[in-house]
Amino acid sequence: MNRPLFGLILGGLVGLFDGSTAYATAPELRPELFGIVLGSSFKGLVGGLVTGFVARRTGSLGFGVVVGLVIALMLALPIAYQNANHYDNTSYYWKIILPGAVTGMIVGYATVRYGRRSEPASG
Amino acid sequence: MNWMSDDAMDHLRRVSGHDESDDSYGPRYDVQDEIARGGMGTVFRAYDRKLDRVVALKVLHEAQAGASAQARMMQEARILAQLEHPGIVPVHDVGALDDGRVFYAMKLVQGNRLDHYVRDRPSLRERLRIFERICEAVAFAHANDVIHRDLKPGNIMVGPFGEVLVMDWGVAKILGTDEAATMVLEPGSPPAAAGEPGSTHVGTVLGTPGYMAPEQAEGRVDLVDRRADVFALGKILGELIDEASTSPPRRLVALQRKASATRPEDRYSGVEQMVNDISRFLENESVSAYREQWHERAGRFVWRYRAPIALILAYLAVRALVLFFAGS
Amino acid sequence: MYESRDRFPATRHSVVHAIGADDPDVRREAFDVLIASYWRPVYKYLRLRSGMNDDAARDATQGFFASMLERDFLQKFDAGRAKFRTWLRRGLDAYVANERKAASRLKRGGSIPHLSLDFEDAEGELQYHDIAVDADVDEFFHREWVRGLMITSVDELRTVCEQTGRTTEFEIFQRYDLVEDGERPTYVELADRFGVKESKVTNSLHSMRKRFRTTVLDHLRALCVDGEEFEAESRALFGPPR
Repeated sequence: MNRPLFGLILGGLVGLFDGSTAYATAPELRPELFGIVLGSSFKGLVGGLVTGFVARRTGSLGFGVVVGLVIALMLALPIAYQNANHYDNTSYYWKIILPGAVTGMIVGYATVRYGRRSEPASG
Repeated sequence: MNWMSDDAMDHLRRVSGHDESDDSYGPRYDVQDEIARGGMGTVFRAYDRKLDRVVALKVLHEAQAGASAQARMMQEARILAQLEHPGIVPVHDVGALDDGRVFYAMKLVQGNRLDHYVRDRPSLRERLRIFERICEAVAFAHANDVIHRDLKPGNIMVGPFGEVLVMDWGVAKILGTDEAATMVLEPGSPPAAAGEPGSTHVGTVLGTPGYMAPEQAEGRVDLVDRRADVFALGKILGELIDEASTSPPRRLVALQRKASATRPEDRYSGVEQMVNDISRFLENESVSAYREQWHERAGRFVWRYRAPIALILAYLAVRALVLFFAGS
Repeated sequence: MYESRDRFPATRHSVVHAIGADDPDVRREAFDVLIASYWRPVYKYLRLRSGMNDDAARDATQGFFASMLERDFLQKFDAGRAKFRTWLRRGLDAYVANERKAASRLKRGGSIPHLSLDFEDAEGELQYHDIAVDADVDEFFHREWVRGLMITSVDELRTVCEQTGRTTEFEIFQRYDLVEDGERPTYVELADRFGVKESKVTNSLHSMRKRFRTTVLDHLRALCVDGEEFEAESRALFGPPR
């Protein structure tokens, strides 16, 4: 499987799972769970796809991890900002950004490690 | 000078008339320093005037220039010519010097003997990578039905970029050919009796004590097959491991022991199986030579997947952290 | 053909032609070369083939070469008909037959111009000859001629080496290539003896052999009538050029 597709699928699954954990970790948000899971999955899909695309030719796991981290941070930051504002609670920053960063790293690592590398010649 | 015998005249006419020279070049090879001396011949550095390059000439010892020694030298050259592989030294030319000594010209290998090369390379991993390359060259020869029969660190050269060249195929055998004439154990001649340690025996038993498989040392020509080379490789591997580590991993030790087992049937059936195990060891996978306990297997699993495991654990830790502080 | 001829520089002009030169000095010099190359074969031929005793053979050798000068003998040589060597040998036969007839009429003795030739030496060499083996007349004559050519060339090579400081090289050559009985030392033994590397031995031998060959061919060229004969003779001597 090529890396963008692999990233897309893995990112989606990890996002789905990560979003679902809110059911346990934030019981007060259960009514909004559907929206959270949907948003998290979407974030994972986008993050995985972009990570897979950026890292489609690298052989370096470290690079994959960093790319996954950076993209996850870029996607998590606006969401955290929005939540922090909406609920007037700055703890949302790290509650959202920290797990998002680690999932981004996982997706970045796995994409490089298990996704098929694109050959430069064949594009 | 008053007289010249017919013998001298005929000799002079022969040697001054046509050596291999062309008047514009002189002899093709300008023989220079001695590089190495073995049981069968001496290797000289030589300059090839025709192609303007430096080569190595392996020249038969004069004292042994009997028909069988010459035939073996020619066979070595022919075998080398058949084995075109980056790990096997390429042969360029064969011929005879003016005095009739047979020689062959080969690539002059720039590098170090294996045992010297690894002295300042303590990394087991690096050593095993080099060992893999040795095995690949030998496996290639085996695939072409040639067994080396005298593998030892002194016959393996490692170039500056870690490229490996297996040398000295003087006692190599083409499987399926009869060679009772060149390798017969005479009754009562102990195989390891003569010669300095580490030197190749020529005569009754061919090979080098310490690296020679038992069946080969006993002169059981009929039993010597690819597994004799596996044995020698096992011995070489043993030295590489011992010098690199005081407590080598059990899987590697088992692998080495299997390769150098006394009975051929206990060894790897071929070099490919052995190199496969080496590769698996380097990839942290299980090897065929060693039955693991469950905790060893688990430990290897964890080590092998340490990066994803660490990432997942990090995620769980973060989640636990979030959960813990959620209430506050 | 042109190329291989060119490889042996013609440092000496053909003696056979020079013998017919107008300049007496040139003629004399050419004659000396001819005698130097042929007197031994002639003497031995007379001793072993014509059944002369040593005195008679000496006189006949002297006389034969003298008659060559006197009678413009060499100018009758026709290159197209025979090899110079063969023709010379036949001339010798004719001379001997003639002399035997004349001997009964006239004793020529004193009128023979005396050439300084080392007959004692040549006489000593006769012990080496196996007459039964040297059966063919032309072959015998040829072989002796080659022997003379090689001996002269070795001497010349020695002189040149002594003058140019190559005595070790020459000695290696002498001890390896000039051994009489075929019991050659090994390269290693020679290297030890002269305190040099084995490679020095092989290189010396090669360069000496090459020089030797060049020297022999120089002489040979001088003794041949034309390039064609030279080609044939050098090929007979050393085998075809490779």
